[in-house]
Amino acid sequence: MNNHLDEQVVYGSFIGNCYILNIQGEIDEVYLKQLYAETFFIIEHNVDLKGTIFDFSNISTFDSNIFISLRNISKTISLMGIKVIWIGLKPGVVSTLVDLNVKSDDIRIAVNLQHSLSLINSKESDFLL
Amino acid sequence: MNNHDFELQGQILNQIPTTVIAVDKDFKIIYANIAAAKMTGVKSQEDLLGKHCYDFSHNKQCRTPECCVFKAMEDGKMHSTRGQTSFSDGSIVYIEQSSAALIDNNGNIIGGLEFVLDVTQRVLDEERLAEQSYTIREMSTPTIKLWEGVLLLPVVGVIDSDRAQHMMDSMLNKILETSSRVIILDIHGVASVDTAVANHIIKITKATRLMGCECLLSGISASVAQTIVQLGIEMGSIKTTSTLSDALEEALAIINLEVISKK
Repeated sequence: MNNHLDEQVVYGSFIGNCYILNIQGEIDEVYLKQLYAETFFIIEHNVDLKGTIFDFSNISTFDSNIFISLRNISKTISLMGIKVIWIGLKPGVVSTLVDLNVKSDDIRIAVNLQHSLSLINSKESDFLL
Repeated sequence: MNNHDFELQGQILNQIPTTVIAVDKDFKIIYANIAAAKMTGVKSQEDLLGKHCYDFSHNKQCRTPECCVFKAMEDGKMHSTRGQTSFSDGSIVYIEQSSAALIDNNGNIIGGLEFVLDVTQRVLDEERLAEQSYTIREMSTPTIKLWEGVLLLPVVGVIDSDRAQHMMDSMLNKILETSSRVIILDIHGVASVDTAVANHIIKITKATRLMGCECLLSGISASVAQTIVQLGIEMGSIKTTSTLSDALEEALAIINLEVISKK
């Protein structure tokens, strides 16, 4: 059933050629679908987009399924030649992810927004994703 | 049993250094040994007889269904509690109390028995020990800001899972606080590296990477390197160096800094 009340808002903003996605609220399947749809809509309509930043600073819980889904979204974006960087993972979330033993080697993570923007604007070609 | 035996039993009960009190169903004291008189601060044990137990000592559970004696009288089982108790003379002590039901020859519960141990010293010792452990733990995981964007955690001694967890927490919080891009984990002072220690280190580096901070492992001696290879531990993509200065150079390179000598 497609209920509009179930849909959550995905907050995103642009800085230059970078699209910053502010992930917030409770992440569930509905949210992930919405995120997927909105992100790809933005990518398709902005041909000069260089990078996408996923900001998790408002997220305090995470499970392995959500992690895998977000990783898949990131991989898909990077297949289109757009750099993907994650920022703002909290120590509690990180501890959980380490305990869950998720594979995180193929995700580019920056320490803050400034760092992520400099990574996107650098000519660095060895992006893992 | 003759009178001599009863006298001996009385003496034994009186000489037990633990407080023993028997109460009836109305919580009136029907027996108290000398230790009970000492603990409650009355002159003799006779002063306690016929009076309510809660008039002499008071804790949170007194006169509530949570009272150990009450519970023991209800179900006939033994109940224990530990906590702070104040006595009529104003003294406050930590006690460990066990209670059991007092049963007559016909099997009817006619009251309750209380054994009380003064554990004040033990509680104080435990508190001191906890404080010391906390101080030692804090001292054992000093995450130092070495440069703008570079952190250092020198590790000395043994890494167990508790310490590894504390190291990880300390590192992650410091990374968040300082937005550092590189952290050097110096294991020069770690006595031995086995599979467990290596796993802890791998876990820590994984966690720091998730925070966006690169972890460099320094202080790997020849023997440690040999052990790691012999044990077949896969260190993955962790950058390792033998000395701290090499690690610092690498760290500075990551944050686009270079050390040059003055002309």
